[in-house]
Amino acid sequence: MTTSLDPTSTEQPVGPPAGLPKFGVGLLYNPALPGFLRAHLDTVDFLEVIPDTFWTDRGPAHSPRYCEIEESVKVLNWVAERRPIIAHSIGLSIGSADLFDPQHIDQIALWHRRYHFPWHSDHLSFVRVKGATGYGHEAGMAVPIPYDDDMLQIIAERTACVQATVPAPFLLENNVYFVELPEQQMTEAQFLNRLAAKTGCGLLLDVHNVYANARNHAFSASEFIDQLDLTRVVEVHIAGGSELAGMYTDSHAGPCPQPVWDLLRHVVASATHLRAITFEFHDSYFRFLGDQGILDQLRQARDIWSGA
Amino acid sequence: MSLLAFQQAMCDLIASPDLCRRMRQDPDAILTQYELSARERRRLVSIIWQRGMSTNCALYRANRITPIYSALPLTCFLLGDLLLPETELYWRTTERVDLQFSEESRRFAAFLLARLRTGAVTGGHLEEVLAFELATIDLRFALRAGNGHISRDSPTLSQAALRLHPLVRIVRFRHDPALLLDHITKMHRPPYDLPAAEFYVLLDARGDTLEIQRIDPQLGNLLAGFENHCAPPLAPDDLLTLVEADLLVASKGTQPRIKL
Repeated sequence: MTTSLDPTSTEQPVGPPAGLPKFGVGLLYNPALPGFLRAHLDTVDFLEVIPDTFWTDRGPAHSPRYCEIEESVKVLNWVAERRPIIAHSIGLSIGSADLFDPQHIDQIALWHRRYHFPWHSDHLSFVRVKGATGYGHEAGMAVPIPYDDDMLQIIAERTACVQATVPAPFLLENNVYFVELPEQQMTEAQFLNRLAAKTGCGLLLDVHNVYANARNHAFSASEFIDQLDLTRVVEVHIAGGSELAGMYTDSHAGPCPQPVWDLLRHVVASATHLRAITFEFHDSYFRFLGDQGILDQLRQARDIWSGA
Repeated sequence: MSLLAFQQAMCDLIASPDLCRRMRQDPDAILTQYELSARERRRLVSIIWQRGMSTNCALYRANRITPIYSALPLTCFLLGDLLLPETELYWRTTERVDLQFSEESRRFAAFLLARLRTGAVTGGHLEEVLAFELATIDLRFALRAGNGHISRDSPTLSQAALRLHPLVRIVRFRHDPALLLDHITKMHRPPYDLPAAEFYVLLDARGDTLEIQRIDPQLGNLLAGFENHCAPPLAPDDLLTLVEADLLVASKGTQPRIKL
């Protein structure tokens, strides 16, 4: 396997997260799932949740700032008594310039202490920009960051901040992107490898995002995966997608396409520290998938997991 | 500063297909508004011509309308062809972008209500359906702890110290709610000649599931008065009945004064 660690760096690489429990195959929670979970909990090894969707953030000027949504928390508590829960947040906005919210990290840390999540992940992108008030407002989507040295430094410092506050290993997820920024100092794989080596963070490899990027920007998804330091991959996301305005998107629209299964098989065979495979779908596609459709996706993922 | 300006410019472009078009025609006119390095400037000029920029713009709009559509589906259905122009006007006039369902849908509802009240938007059933969906959102996100329940043995309370149970909402309809909601939930436009009268619906989230029931207009009007802090004075026995039904609870921070 070739990796893309910077050969000129004098820094000692920090090892990958160690000693994590090996879970298997699970689902990312969405509001369509409570009925499925009550009927088929035995088919999932864990449930992954987006903590940010279980509370309303009223902003830093309010006290209390975070109001939990009780009907959602009730479902979470029910599952937490029966299965491990993994946390995957969307609100860190780790790539935002001049904006990083320690209160948000504290809130995540609070939930870690309550639910004992084995690790924590978020996205390698930014979702918020600094507004006139100093508090960020939403960018409306996960916007990709440039893979440059100064951005690597920013993300590394913030990763260290999360690692110091949240009592669990931290993973970052590779992003999907629809435009390519020219003149980047690193490839995406180089950036991910250097970030992991510099900070000791793990990788959440979204195989469907890799597939979407490869399809949209005409490169080989498996070659991209081979450029990654797969010993850093702790979790994998799989999903389906759909076309929008001429590009293939990570819309989580139903079942995984065949190339995603092929890539998953490739990753599972090589990622020695892989602990979990999570199937994601958007709740609006529940009617399309149905219980049986979800069970089929879980079964296929489990076949690949077991064959590793 | 430069990275911040670059990210701001990217977000502005993603949020506005019109800005993208204008930048294609005259990049200098747009980019002089941002303090950018030469490389960042070249990056923005490059992406503006890429096919994926249309996808970014489409995704932005889809992501922004999702909280509104998810929380207010019936209102969105009734808006019909007005939905896109009204949401776009809302986005242009609201500085804060927020993808949280409860806050964003409430802000859009307030915007739409103001447009309805000034006559800028008209729609035979919009206002009552919007009020109904807003009440549903309120209850979905309401906190269940500490609701000021008064037990049968509570000592004394004045009417001024009572409020509607926080897990109950009253919605006034000007058309039969059963007929109206039946049409809309089946994605049928309601007929214009639905019989008009005053109807009240009680939304009750005190149990495990949200219960919706039509109630007597006199009781509805009375409970709506408590909800809006303008209830007419009631006889102690009537107050006691409402308290015992757990429809009225103690207001926050109030002290008992007059024996019921």
